[in-house]
Amino acid sequence: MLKYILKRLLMMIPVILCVAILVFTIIYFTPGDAAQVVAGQGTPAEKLDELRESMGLNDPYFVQLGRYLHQVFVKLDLGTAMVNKTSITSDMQARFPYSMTLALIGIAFAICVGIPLGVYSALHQNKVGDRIAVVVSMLGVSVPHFWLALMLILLFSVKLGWLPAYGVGGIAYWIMPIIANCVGGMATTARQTRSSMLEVIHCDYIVTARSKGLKQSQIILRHMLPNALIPIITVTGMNFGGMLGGGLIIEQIFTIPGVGFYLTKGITQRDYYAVMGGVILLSVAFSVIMLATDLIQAFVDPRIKAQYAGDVKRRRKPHAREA
Amino acid sequence: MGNGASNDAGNGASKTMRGADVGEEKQKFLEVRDLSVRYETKEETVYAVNGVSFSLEKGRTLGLVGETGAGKTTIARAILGILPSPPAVVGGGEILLGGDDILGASEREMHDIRGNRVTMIFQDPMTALNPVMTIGRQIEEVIESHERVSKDEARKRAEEMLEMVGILAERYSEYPHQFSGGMKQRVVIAIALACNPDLLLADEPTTALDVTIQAQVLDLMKTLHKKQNTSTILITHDLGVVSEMCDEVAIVYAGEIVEMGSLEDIFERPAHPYMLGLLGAIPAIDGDEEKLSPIPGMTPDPTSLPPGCKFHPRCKYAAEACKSEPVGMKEIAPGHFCRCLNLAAPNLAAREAE
Amino acid sequence: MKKICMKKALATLMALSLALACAACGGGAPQAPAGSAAATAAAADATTTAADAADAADAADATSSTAGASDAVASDAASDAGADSGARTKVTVGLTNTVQTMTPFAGLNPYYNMILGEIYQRLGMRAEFGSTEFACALMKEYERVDPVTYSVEIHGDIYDSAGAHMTAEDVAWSLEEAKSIGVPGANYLESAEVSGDYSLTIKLINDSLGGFETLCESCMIITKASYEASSDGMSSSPVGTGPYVLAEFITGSKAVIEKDGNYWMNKSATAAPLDCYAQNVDVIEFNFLTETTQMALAVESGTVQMGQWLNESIVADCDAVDGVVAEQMESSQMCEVLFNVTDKSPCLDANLRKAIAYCVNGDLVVQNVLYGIGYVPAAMGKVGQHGNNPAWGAEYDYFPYDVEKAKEFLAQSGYNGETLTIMIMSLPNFVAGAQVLQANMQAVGINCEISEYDDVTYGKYQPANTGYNYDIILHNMSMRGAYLIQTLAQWFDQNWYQDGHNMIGMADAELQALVDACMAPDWTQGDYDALYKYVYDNCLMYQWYANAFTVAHPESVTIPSCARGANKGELLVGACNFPADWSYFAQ
Repeated sequence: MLKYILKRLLMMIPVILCVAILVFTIIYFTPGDAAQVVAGQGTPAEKLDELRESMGLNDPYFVQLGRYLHQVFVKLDLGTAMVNKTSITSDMQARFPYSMTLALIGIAFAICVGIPLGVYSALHQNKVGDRIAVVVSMLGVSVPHFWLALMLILLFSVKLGWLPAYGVGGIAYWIMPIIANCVGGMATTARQTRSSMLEVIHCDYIVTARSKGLKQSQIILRHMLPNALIPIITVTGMNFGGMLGGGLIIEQIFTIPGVGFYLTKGITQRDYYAVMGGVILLSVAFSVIMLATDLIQAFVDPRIKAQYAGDVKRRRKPHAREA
Repeated sequence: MGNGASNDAGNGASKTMRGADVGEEKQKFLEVRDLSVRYETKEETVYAVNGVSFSLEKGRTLGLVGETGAGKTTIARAILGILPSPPAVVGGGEILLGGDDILGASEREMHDIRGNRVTMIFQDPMTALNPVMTIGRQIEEVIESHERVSKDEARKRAEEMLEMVGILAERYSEYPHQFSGGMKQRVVIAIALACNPDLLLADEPTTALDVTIQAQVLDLMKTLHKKQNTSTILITHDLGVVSEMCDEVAIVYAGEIVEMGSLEDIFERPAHPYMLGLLGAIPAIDGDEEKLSPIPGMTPDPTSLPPGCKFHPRCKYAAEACKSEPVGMKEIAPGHFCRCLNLAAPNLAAREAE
Repeated sequence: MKKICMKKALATLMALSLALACAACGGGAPQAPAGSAAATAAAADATTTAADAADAADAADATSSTAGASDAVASDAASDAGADSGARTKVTVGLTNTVQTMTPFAGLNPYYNMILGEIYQRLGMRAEFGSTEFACALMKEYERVDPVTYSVEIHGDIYDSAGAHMTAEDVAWSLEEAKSIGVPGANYLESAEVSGDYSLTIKLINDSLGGFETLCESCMIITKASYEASSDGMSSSPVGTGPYVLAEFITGSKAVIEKDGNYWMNKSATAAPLDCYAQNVDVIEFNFLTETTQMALAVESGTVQMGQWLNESIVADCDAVDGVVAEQMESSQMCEVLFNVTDKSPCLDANLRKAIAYCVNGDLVVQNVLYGIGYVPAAMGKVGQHGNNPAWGAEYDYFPYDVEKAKEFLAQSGYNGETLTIMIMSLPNFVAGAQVLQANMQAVGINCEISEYDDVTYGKYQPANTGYNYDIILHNMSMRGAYLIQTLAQWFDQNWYQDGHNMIGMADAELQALVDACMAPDWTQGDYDALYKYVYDNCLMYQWYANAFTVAHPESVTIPSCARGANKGELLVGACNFPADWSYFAQ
């Protein structure tokens, strides 16, 4: 198993390299002048030419690519933002914790609320409780984040004055952003859990478990849930990745200085280096999340673990009674 | 539907057979009286079990034989109380286990009974085990939930069970996918016998296995049966298995028992036309037949069963009365029952020869 | 059977409605950046009703709302890193843009300047928005030795907030550093040589007009020691000589600055404190409220006392709040209509250009695009730049909205019904403005179409001679630079492009002569007047509307002109006048 983990970690490197190359290439070929962005509007043409030369923008593609890759992976420096002239690495260091917190707590809620809801739904399929839960899930998936965020602000900040409308600080500042962010994830998880559980409920080994005379709670926790979790883990992993990069609307509305907001600012300002740095960082984060997802799955499902571990434990000792 | 007849016949038969115990309260360990089960969906109702009655004594093996869809599995699941509840509706009847009616028992009471007094072995070993739990743990679970023993004790017993079914105790922590089909079925057997149940229901335990493994598993079951003297109901459609394993046989057709008796009675002196047909369809090992002779026609649609005798559309000997009147069980010999109107001659086989 | 038919029909109906809904969504999507415009447009309607409801509640119980607001402020302040408790006055300011770094080399971004302009100082700058007078800040005096050489002397008792003493070496180093980092405006520097403890000689790269002033205005001066002591280039821990120091900074979220008790100008023997560097309030907290709705809500609830650069759509809501006024102030943001004056375009014909200029209704744009927050300028040019002559507004009739005249000129021109292309950057205000222009032009019979470009690729297409084919281009330029010609040169100076044509495609010796005259060090007002006449007579450029810079603030606060920076009119909050009974305090 350890070998597998190491192997996957090593495999992450070419993935991230490819992402970096791809991002760089796309931005390289996108029409638009990086020198113009750095210098700002209204700079005469000769000054732009000088700047282009000094930024190395006239070098051939591969030279620029090599330079960038060297800078990012060897010197571990994501560069300097073109508009603000700040170090992108330190910008990211300041912002990543916010995005991460938002995403982590969001996914924790999604799991803690979504899974029990889905289990309940599946066990009481087509009864009143299930129907209500299904409608609530659908609402959760359909409601747009920003609308929900604004409605929460109107209710809790403006009308009731309980919570601050924006900013960062203590727990009070996080309540509304997290709720707005995780409702979608909660609903998706609940739906996925429900359908996964419904599949499992009709499996033969559940009949075996019932015939053993186990209590219903035991059956759910030890037999149904571990099997139902396998697709849920995958979905949750992807949800988390989505929450990480996609919390940007929430970040913008609540002025939480996170990576998503930084990235979109970079995009609208055409700050190429900031965008490249942000994308690379997000891709690293996403790769790690996917790896974690796979490992958790292997932990839960021994069949997958066996696949990964690569060795099939068959006893080689001869035994007369064994098939 | 012949309630009284079957009851009286049942009582009378056992008393007659075990003459030595006349006067003693004979333990009819399991008694099923007039069990009816139907599956109701929005579109249709399936009449799966229609007034089934039989009984079983301690330590004996009853074979429930019939074609697919005859209702055998439903009977077994009804005994265990694990029928899928929204579609399945129990229409009536009683199931007495050692005198207690378990059909009407509450869920809590059933928790105690399942896995402990009544257990089941399932048809498909490949899907019968939880893929994410070690096999040892699955056995241990059943022991833990029914018997008050320490964790270590439970584990030891689980390992003993593994040994008993012929699996190395070291393989305790392995997962089902690491075992072959035959081994998995052994694990299922181990789970079923872990708590020394009074009644074992085996639902086609070897159907999904290939023939050589089948032989091994059957051997194992026989050995264990001798050891623990568990009363067993063996469901199968394979007459060969029946002849090897069972003491008594009941033939199930369209949710009814059409013939019931000891192994010898059924095989040597079959009475019901259906049974005759089944035996006739078996190819003789030394014969030189080019064509097999199956029973013509198909089993009736359980949503719309024919009136009168359920077998009459396919029966050679069907008379007018067979098509309209419901047919009751008749005792044609001590302990041998048959549900047929055309029993003028005591020995149908003789009639066959005509 | 019937049931199955019904099911099929229902399924088909649902699929159709799904398809229709998708098409509707796709069709109506605006091309706004980041999508918040769409969100806020939808939400603005929602907030209007919410605001009305909130107003009713406010009006009914004014005292409790103020109490609630100061509680909110107090709880905000509770998270400040303020040292002493005590009755320190505090104001919370909302900015519609985000500030991500405190480095002195960030350039003259006006949002940043609201904060950095209080923390750092420059050698000198135009004292206030609209004034051409150049004031010395860190400089004691300067002398122009020759067109490219200036000798500068700074005050001898300048200390930054870390206590480091500033010398001429620090000044030279700051200028060189700014130039090497690429701060716009620092490129005028050729070299800076220290000639004494507090004196240095600055050499410019050329003698272009306004070079020295622009250099001084663009570069924040800091001590080398403090910069090197900072691990991140003062990105989060700025140390400057200004009246305020940074107390707390959460990048992208908020910044809090406090009055510097040791501000050198208060104790200087030689420097007199400048009005723009007043310390009228003890603590200033900036909240970066990029989401327009949040800004409106914050102003209404009093969480933010001053809202800057309000989006036009919420100005009315903010103004409607009790005790708050949304003050419109002059801004330097002007929008121009420029023409392609080459033979590739029908706009080569001056009559057509005039026809277009007369047919445009600037008021309509202000009403429709800017929600009424703006005005139509009386003349080309801007107060606050040398060479601008206020008399132009009176002397010339600056193309007012006159359909008859437009049709006259159109008839005189050789326009044959060609479709003209209007090129714009794809930003919402431009798109809306272009649509008004298109409507106006079509009303007099000129056909035109709109061509949008991304604002980054746009620059490539601007030069009329070599760029894309356009006939009219809409642009907005702030009047950066102390001299009007610095701004106009971008359009008219033929030396900017190697092919000898200026931005609008002309290679006209007469125009160039006029431009050169204005750029010469010995320019006179007459030169500018001549240039203006030429541009006017030929209708080369038409400034058709101007944005206003709107600040929402309590009625009791007044904003003097010294509080407005010359760059874009950004506010230096410390220089605003706060009433004696200001009721917001820091904890």
